[in-house]
Amino acid sequence: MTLRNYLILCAAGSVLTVLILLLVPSVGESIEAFLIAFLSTNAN
Amino acid sequence: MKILKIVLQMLGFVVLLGAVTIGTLRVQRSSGDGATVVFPGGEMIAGELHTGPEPDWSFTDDIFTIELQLNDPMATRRIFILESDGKIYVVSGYMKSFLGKVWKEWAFDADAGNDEGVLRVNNVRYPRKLVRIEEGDVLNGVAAKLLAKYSGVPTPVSAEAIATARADIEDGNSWIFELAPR
Repeated sequence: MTLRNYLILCAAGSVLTVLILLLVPSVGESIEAFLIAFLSTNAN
Repeated sequence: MKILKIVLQMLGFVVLLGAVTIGTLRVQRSSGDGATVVFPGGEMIAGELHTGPEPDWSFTDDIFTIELQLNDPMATRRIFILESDGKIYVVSGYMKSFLGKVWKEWAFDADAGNDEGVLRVNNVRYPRKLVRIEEGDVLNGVAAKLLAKYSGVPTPVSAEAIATARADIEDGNSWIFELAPR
């Protein structure tokens, strides 16, 4: 993959991620639940 | 060499999406009325403002987390609450860990002087001043409640368990703040 295509992929992935998080609240809530579990387990 | 490049590209993509996700959620939550457990929220607007005498705080035994707003800078956190001897306390654990230093910035802020804020529980807002309790026998009651409420230790909590939890607090691993009225 060329650098140009890779940067396009990164930009598209970032935009898609932001849109999903803003438009589908349950996705963000699920990620938060995962983060809570991770932090509770690893914050020692 | 080509495989290494592909692996690094994939790794970079995953890290980027992770950072974008965390950043988006943090920004999104920061403008909300109240907080979630992980991300700080914005100014608490909803709920009546309490005036008058202090309530019987024992009702908080049935409440797992509360929202606490610190005023300067304005940010709201969702955290544990403990009632002991008629007073209420909030707990911040993991304070000596790296993740704790990142996750629990509110406690460092409060200890550094950003100690005025608002507690919201059951949709009622209570103006509060945070007073850190670092030592003293008051920690016995707080430690006992902490163990019973959040660690599932059967009551009455043993003196050994209380002493261990109190030592953890006095060593600075967990910070306790009294939510005093103001």
